[in-house]
Formats: sequence, C-alpha cells, structure tokens
Amino acid sequence: MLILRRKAGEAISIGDEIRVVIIQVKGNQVKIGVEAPPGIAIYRDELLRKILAENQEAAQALPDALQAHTIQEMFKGIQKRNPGKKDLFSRDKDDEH
Amino acid sequence: MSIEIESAKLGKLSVNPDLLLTFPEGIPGFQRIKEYALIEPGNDSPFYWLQAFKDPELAFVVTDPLFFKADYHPSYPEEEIKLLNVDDPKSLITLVLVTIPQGEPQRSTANLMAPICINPANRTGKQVILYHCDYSHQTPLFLQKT
Repeated sequence: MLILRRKAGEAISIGDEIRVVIIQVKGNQVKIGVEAPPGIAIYRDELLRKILAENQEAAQALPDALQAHTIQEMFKGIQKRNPGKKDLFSRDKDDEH
Repeated sequence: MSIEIESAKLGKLSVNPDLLLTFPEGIPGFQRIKEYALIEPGNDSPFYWLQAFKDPELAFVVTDPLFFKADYHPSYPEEEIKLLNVDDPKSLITLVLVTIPQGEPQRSTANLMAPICINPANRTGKQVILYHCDYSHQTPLFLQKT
C-alpha cells in the first residue's frame, strides 16, 4: 500500500481523472472530497463490502428454492395482499403471444 | 426470434432478445459480467431469474419489491442513475435481489439497500446503492410468525 502524508487543503491524484482532496482533519476524523469522472462508483468501503457479500449470498440461490412448498405457500399470502401482478415489460409480452 | 441461453440452474432457455439487459458497470462482485436476461419462471410466481447471458453459472433471484413492501419508493441519487440515461426516473423498473438461505426459504431476505434499476427504454441496468437511505440489505421477505 502506498502511504502518503498530506495536510488539510492538499490532495492526491489517481491517474488523470481522480483527485482526492483532504478537506479537514479534526480529532480522529478526516473530511475527504473525491473528484472522479461519471461511471466511477465511490462508496464508503463498509457499505460496498456489505453489498458485495450480500450479492455473493444471493447468487447461491438454487432453482429448488423457488419450488419449495413453503415458499409457494408464502407467495400466496403475498399475492393476497398485493393482487395484480405488474407486467414489467408488457410491450414484449404482446410480441411473444 | 428468440435466442438460446445456457443456464446451470435452469437448463437451456429460450429468450426474447428484447429481454436482454446490459449492466455497463456489472453488478458489484460480478463486475465483468455485463449482460443478463430476465427470466420469468412461468407460473404465477412474483419471482424472476436474472440470468447472466454468457455465464451459465450465475443467476440471481429477483422480485418486484412492491409485492412485499408496498411503500418502497426510494429516491435515487442523481449520479447513481446517470448511467441509465433516463429522462424520467419514474419510468425506471425496480427489482431487488433475493437471498434464499438453503433449506430455510422462510428466512429469505431482499436487498432493499441496493435495488436493481432498469431503464426499459434502453434495457440498461444498474445496482443502485442507496447510501442515503435506511433500507436494509437484508430485509425479511416474509412476516415472521410469532
């Protein structure tokens, strides 16, 4: 890991287009500004880690899971509360039938 | 005209090419995979499969969040949806990834913190992270019986 010492008001550049500015240092907190082109996602690390881990879990779903008796029964409960399934891509469905 | 997709979980699928979606940034954790197909299970199930087009192994279960959370209308940060080139954010289709613990489907959760947004006009999608909201990435899908 590259370690640099910076003061408030100073910055570092990553490549041509990403700039990280140290805005304020106060106690054990640092206020940071990030300039980056659109398409570069910038998140708090712990938030992105959560999403990454959850996506890995979600990708484990097996087809059997949707067939399981319990989940089918539960769907029925949900459908009673929210009748009328919305067609997501209704235009295409017309083409199909 | 339909195209064939190979799926490790669902077998050989025949898909309307109009239902192919492009995720220019991929999905976090699976960034190099950009193309997916939305597969309807066929029965009256509110669930869909989001199957990677060229990666048979990868498929997610997704659902319309309004099925179980009728008041889910998050506002999307502008920079998060810029990529989707949408004129009116209201026209976006919102789906959420579902995690189904093996053997315990009653404990299924949905990721309301990071919904999948799709612009139906250009079939572009993105997993949007709602960093400004309090939605949980593990919202229970079913009411727990007490």
